[in-house]
Amino acid sequence: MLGPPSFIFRSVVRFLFFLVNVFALYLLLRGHNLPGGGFIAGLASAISLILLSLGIGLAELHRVMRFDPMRLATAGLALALGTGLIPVGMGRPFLEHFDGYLEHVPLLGRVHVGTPLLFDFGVYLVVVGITCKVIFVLGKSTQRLVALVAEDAARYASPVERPIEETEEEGGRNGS
Amino acid sequence: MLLLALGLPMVGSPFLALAGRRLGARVGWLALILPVMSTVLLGVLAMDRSLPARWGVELPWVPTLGLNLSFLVDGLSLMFGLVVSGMGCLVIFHAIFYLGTDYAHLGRFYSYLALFMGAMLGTVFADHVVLLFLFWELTGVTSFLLIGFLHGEEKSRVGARQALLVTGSTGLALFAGVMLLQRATGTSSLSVLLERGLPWGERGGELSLAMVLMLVGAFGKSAQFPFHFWLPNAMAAPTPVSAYLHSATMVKLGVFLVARMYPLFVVSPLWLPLLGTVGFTTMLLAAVLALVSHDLKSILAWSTISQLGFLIGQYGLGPVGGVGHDQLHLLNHVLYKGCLFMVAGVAMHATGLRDVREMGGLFRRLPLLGMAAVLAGGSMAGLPGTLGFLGKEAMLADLFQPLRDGASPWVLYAVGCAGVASVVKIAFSLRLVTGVFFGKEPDGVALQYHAPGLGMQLPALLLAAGSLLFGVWPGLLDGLFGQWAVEGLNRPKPLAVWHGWSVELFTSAGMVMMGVLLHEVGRRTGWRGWRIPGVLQADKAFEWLVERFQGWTKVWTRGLRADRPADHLPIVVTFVVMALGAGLLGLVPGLAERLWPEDVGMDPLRTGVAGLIAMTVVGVLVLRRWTAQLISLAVSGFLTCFYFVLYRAPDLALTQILVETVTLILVLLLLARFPNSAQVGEETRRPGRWTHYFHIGLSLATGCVATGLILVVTSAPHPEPLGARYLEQTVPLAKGSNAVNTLLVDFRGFDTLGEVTVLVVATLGCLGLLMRYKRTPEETRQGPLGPPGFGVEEQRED
Amino acid sequence: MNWPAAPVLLPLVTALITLFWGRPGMARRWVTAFSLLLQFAVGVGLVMSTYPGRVLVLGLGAWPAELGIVLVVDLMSAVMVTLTALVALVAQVYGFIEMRWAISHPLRIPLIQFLLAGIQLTFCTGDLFNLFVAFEMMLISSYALLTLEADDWDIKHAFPYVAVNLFGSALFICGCGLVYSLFGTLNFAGIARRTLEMERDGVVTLVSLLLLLVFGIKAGLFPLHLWLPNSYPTLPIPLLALFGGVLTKVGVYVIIRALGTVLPHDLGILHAWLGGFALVTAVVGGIGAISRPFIRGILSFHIVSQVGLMLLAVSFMTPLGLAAAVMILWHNLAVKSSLFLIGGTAALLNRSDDLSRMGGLWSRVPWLGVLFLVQALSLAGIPPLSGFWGKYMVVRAGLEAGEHLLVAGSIGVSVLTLFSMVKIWLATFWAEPDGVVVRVEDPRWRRMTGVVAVLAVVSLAMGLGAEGFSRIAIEAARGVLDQEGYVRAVEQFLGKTGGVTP
Repeated sequence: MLGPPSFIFRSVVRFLFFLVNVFALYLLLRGHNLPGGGFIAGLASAISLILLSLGIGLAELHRVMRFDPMRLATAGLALALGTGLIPVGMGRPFLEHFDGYLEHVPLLGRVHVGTPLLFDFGVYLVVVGITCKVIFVLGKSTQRLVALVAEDAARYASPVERPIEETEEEGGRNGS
Repeated sequence: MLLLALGLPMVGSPFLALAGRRLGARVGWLALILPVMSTVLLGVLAMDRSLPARWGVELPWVPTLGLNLSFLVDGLSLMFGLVVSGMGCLVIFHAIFYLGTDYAHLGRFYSYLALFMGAMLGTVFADHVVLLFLFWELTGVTSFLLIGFLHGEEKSRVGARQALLVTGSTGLALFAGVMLLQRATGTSSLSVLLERGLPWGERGGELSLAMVLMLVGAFGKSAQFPFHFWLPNAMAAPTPVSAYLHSATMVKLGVFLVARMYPLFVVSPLWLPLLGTVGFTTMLLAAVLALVSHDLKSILAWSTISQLGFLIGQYGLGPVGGVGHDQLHLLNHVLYKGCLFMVAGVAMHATGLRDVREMGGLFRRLPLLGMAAVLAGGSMAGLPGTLGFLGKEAMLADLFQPLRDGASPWVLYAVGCAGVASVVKIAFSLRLVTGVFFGKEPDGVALQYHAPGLGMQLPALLLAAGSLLFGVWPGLLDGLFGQWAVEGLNRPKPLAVWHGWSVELFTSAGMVMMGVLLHEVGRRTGWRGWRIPGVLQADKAFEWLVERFQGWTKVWTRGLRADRPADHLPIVVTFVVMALGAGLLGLVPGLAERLWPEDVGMDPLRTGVAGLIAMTVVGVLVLRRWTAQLISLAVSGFLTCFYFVLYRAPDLALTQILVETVTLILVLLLLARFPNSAQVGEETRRPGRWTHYFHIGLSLATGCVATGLILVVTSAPHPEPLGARYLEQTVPLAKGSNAVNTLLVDFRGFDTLGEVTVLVVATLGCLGLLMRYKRTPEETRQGPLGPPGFGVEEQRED
Repeated sequence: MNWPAAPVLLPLVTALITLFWGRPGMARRWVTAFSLLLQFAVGVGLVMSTYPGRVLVLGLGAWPAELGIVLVVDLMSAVMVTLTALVALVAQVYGFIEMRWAISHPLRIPLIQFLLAGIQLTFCTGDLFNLFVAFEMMLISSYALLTLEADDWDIKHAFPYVAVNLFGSALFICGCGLVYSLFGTLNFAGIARRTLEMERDGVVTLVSLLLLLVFGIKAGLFPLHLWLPNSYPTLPIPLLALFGGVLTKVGVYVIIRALGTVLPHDLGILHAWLGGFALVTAVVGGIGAISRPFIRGILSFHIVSQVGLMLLAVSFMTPLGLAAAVMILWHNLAVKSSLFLIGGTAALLNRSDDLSRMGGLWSRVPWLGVLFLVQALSLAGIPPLSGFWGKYMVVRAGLEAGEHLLVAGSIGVSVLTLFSMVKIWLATFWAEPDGVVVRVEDPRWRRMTGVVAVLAVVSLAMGLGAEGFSRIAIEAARGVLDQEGYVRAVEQFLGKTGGVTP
């Protein structure tokens, strides 16, 4: 299904990747006031990454990206949770949001910022992370990228099954 | 002091189990301390004449639920308490020699025994009816453990299970009865009830029910017909246990309960019929069964049941105001039966045999034991010079009295049963004694004989001596019985050895002659063909029932489709749809108007889009090729998105588009990853035609019910929904103009946090599934813990 | 002020830490155990601060109940939180003993924490949609755990669990929508207030029925229980203890909460319906348990039976009846999970949990036997162990409510329970068949027994110290039934808007 991508496709995909991500960022930032937000932006970014993976190949992408998308998702969750925990440290209820204005920002002038954006960014990261992870894992095994699959397996698969039987021989070792 | 007497065995029990490891067989001596202390303490209480006839102690335990450790001390409980603790001393003493060092885990044994004794004392002294039940069940559990002490043997396990199931379930009847009694009278204290009496007038029905239930409990515990079968099987326990639990104490709990209830319930019209028939039927039946059994302990077990039947029956016959000789019968039975059990135990220990037919001639080897056996057997048969004789006289007198007063059919039945049973009893008493101790000594005995120690025989001798002493000098008992008499229960009459040439004496003599005759017949035939007829082997029937019941449960469970994973969802959905459908039809007033409101505004554009969505969905079902199905599915998704646009929900529409896209990619990847399962040899089964129709019908019904629900509920929405509030507040409070986003991130940010967590977890789950360890076929066959399958055969799901 | 959120946040944070940690190791285990201990401590703290009858309210994001999500912890929730944390702690440590870290599945620890977060949120939430989210967290984690270490055969039997519960979730979300349409709010207190105020007709009963069905699926009410008895035994033992001990009880808890606090109290038909089906559930569960020839199967089917008993007590809808249900619920949490663990240890010693291939444990490992005996008899309701008190209260409540049939049924079910417990006992502990080896040389069983003993001690304390236990249960039940108190407590949380929405 996924043959070697042509040169044109690869170039277009790279260009699209940046375009879509800029759009995603825009969606994320304006989310609080206009249609958009972390979830939608995350999906857009994820699609861009998937396109990129089709364009340059999963192995290449893996070499460039270096980290496990699952980490992205975990970090996003931690960010969202952490945003909620800020007020807890101040003795306020969990998940209370604060906002304020940043004066004299270059180009934009007075900017309204608030912790909801941080929360939303966490959501964004989670959505990007999990979408990419699932699709990449499937892609890797479909394309028989054995080394990459093994790398995932080391992290997410049980080293051995059947606990009781396994340590039976261990018990035997102890006994001998 | 009472609390100490009750608590000591309970508290001491676990320590015995622990000490057993270190001390081995010597732990018995440690165990002996407990009953001796209890006996002494209770003895002091019994002798203390300064105490009132009925007094109590109360310790708070669970006052919130109205249950305290309240104890009631009167003649009845003192007498039973002394029997329990006194017999406890003798039995443990006996056990120390009997068990010797032959058995493992003696610490556990004495621990059970002590716990049992504590529970017994608790039961007889309990004032609160629920407390009584509590200890009652505890005796059942400890008896279960004791019967199964030699649990390596199948027989012990079966016997223990039978005992627990029978006494446990009848115990539950007692529980129900006790709770009803509590409910009907408003109090749960026996002493209060004994003082006030029962409100028969207002709540007669409830009280009668309570009485019947409580009596069922008593019958179960005392092995009365039709629960009689468990006791002989309980004899799989070591003999000291049998002597203690299954003759002297635990099985007497039923008798105790009846005695406790006597002053309260004797006025009930059901009292005599129930107790009379059950008691005397048991008496006769068990006596006959004792005669046709050959196993030494079985004979004793049946004879015990027979005597218990009589004890319960005599309460049934008793007049309002009190019975005359129950204390005598009780004491008598304790003395001779305890003695006989120990004699039997010693004899079995010495010869290694259990069958009466294989024994004989032991008198020469064990003259002292023989003497004891003769005395105890004589007492059981009711021969003059023993306490049994007095008992028999008293029994006959009590039976003839109502007969003279004008007989009801119940009394006639009772007299008939008792008469025949007494004859049979004399026969098997004779058989027991002569069979073991007299006659020619078979070779088997001489082969295996090893002399038992004197310590083992001592308790039996003591009991026999007691039987003789009281039999000759009954005046000793008069004082005791008088002191222990409970108002409304006992009206002790003075005892005398010689009553003159009365009817009773002649009857008694006649019975002895007939009994001897019966025994002679048996002896002449060599007891061939004397066995329990199959119809009366209720224990076998019970076991059969238990085994079959397990089979039935499998059939029933399979009938409920528990083992067919493919059927679970359809059943659940069907039930939900039926319940909701019934609710729609039954609960909603004006269903028709709500389903078809007058003013249905149909926007052509929206209707059209909805129609298109419906068409694509049908397309997914109808189209044959998966590519076409997929496209149809995708189209329906994008149409839904358009639908959101029509309702001016840009966020939703945007999300829907993106989700639709990602899903499509995912599905394509999945299809690539997992090719057509048929290709890799997996079996696919098409559902049968009727299943297919059923699924179509179920889906339609689900759709209809869902639609109906939505229409009905939304036809009258709440006037002040919260949504409007959010629209108002999004800018001033959450400082954002996108209400959807403020709702997601701020107002209900926690939900979003939760859902984001769900996403992460779902991904982890997917990874876990995709990275699954692949087992070898052999491993798969065996499963993680033994072979797969729930013990029921794997069924084809078609 | 944030204490009501603590039971949810702690496991979430722990899950994240252990996820970041990635590879398994001893340190990760220590962190997990410490966190669970902390969760237990928080639970104890919550119990102490809610007894008797105080309600802790936290409006998340400082919004008042009307606008935001509230977490509400009363005595009932607090005890549930505590017991859940305790069971999780014991099960987790048992799991640690069972498998060296080097060979254990790396995702198990974080997934269990996610599961716990979902469960604890269910107990603490005061909002219907949030409850849905909590259910989702809990269910998705349970699906993941169920399939994590499963083979093909396991997955076949785990499938109904996933399918039926997905259906339940779909039904639940419909229910949320309908409730919102009917009451205009999703907040428990808001719904309670509006049901008290508005004029009701059958539609309220209908929607309540829908919710009851949803929770019934989760709890395992007949005939919605079908997914349960075959899917649970496919789990590894420590997870089985957690699922069997806690997960279905969540369903019962939610039913108690919904019927007691949220929905109106006069849904007569619904309560009668519940009582009837609960009795059938109890009987079917008891019979099913007897039909199973292996320990995990017997105990799994038993869950159904016990759930039936609890719901039967709920259906009386009297303070005493509810207290009885609460009592059985708590007793079951401790007893059931420890029975699974004991069964697991026995299976470890015999290398099988098929009753026909077990035996000889009473003479070799008496301590395990004592534990089993205590817990099994407690389950069968033998006095004075913890199970008895629940039964005692059910019978009393039933007699007071005049439900003689249900009372008789509930007593009769004990016979079935006793039967299956005796069946296990005879085969596993007493029987000494040839060829069955007891591997006492395996060092793990001692530590396992030690861990399980903690739960046995708890259940013994519940039984012998029934005074305190029953008083808490009665207080908790009173709190659940006190709708007005609940509404008042929630409305007293003012948040940053000062309680008034301009």
